[in-house]
Amino acid sequence: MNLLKLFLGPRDLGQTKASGLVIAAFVLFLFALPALISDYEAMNFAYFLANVPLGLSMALIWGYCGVLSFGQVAFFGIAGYFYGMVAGNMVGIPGSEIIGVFTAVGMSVFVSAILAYFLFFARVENWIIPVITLVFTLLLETFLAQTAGYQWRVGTVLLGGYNGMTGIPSMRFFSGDPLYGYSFYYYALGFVTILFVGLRLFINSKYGLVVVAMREDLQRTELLGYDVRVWQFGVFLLAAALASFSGILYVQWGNYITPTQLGLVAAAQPVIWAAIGGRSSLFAVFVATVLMTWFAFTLSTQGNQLSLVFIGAATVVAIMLFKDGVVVSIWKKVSALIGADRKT
Amino acid sequence: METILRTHNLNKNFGGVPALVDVNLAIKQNEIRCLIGPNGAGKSTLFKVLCCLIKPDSGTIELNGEDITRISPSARARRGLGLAFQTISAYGQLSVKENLLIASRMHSLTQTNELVEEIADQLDFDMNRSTSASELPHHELQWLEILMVIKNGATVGLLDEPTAGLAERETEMTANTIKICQQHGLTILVVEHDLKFIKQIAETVTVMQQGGVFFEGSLQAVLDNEDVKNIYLGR
Repeated sequence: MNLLKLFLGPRDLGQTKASGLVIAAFVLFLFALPALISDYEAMNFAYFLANVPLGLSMALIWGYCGVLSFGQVAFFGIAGYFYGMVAGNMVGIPGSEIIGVFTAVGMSVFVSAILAYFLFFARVENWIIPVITLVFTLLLETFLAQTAGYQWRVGTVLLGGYNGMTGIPSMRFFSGDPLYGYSFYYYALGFVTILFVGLRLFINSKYGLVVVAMREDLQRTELLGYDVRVWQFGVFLLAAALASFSGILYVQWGNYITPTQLGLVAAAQPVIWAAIGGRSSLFAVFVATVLMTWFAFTLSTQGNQLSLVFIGAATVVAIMLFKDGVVVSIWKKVSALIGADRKT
Repeated sequence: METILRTHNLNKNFGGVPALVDVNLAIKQNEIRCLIGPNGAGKSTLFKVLCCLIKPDSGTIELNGEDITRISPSARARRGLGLAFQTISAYGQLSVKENLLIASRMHSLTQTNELVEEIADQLDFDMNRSTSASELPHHELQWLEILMVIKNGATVGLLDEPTAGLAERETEMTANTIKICQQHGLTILVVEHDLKFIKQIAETVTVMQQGGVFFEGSLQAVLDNEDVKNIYLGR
């Protein structure tokens, strides 16, 4: 089948049917996991999944397109806040959550388009993009942090300053029950699986080839007749849309969002997941995002004040020992041992 | 024959140092033109200006009668101007096949494909390899560069020292390649140092010195010219 061939294409781990099975097994394991854990644990686990689109967005923009962006959490935050404002003002109306989802993604992409226009059409140099996107994220955090008063409200929803926005409606489909536990887990997993498969098909397509070509040599790609400004603009918007899905899943999961979610520490998280997993592999970043958020979550729920220090130290060690990322390196070692996969 | 590429009084200064001084070039359709000159004569700068990697301070560039001085590098490529770099810049991490696929801009033109096939046959170059470009031997990389420019649909190819570092036999094959391109109606502008190679391909030779066009004529006229000899010998 053509789609299968495309899925097993050259720009991610798992290029043979045998190694593709490893990926299928990983996803199937996630689908079977609720059989082993409680409703409450499934809800916790859904949080790890909710971060995956954010990780994938970093793999796309940084790993494949070669543009390091610290703005992904800003798009995450914009989507979270907008979902809260829209769905929060329409509580009880069937389908309001779905309207909230579309509005949130739309607003995130809209804002990212304005930012991307200045980044790519003004032809700022590549090294300056992380700086501008980080400044953008921190400005947004600073703005949201001072929205504490009653005057900062949209309809009945308060922005809430540093305490954040609370009481954000959970996901539900029309007049069904709000999703929680197992049902939310499967909702998040379905979401993430579709995004992962879709993105993998995209990156292995001829369009994905152009994205990678821009990373390898932007000038050469331009001299071959591609308007790289338009291409980078498009990829940036796609990455923003991915990040916004994470923001939506996050607020539907926890029913709140605070400006901390757009802070310096938060902005570094997806970069860490991508670096540890191996930024030029969607699958590796998928796995790394689940494992790293699980690790951070476990450390902090055990009351460990130093969890961030542990994460930071683990990151430094991992990057020093595994230049291509831990997941990618292990994958290559194992497949070289059993001679299964050709090198990527 | 009609003029396909024309420059009019191109000037470029780098911090007060003139790199191009009133360069007027007229390349006829289907011509092979060689550009020679000592180091620092402005040959590479001229190529970069033609492709819009550098903007000229003044002057105009015309391609097919259209003023292209202000249009972007990608738009110039789409109008048929192709550059093969002096420093190899195929995508090292990507396979030979992928390099050529990108160069094709995803559409396949029958005419272009036939030409590319013919050249690849002549060079005994396997275009469907999944070998990454960085693993190719030097001469095959040089050929990949040329193949990419043609695959890109270029009608005017700018080749910057396509035989640098090649053995005699390989240089000869490169010369044949350029002749095949000419037979298919392409126009080639090539910067070279290798006189033997120039003898094989060139009709007209342009000599550049200190940013300007110093002399233009047949290869024999260039070789007989005392002033050109003096430039090269530094007298």
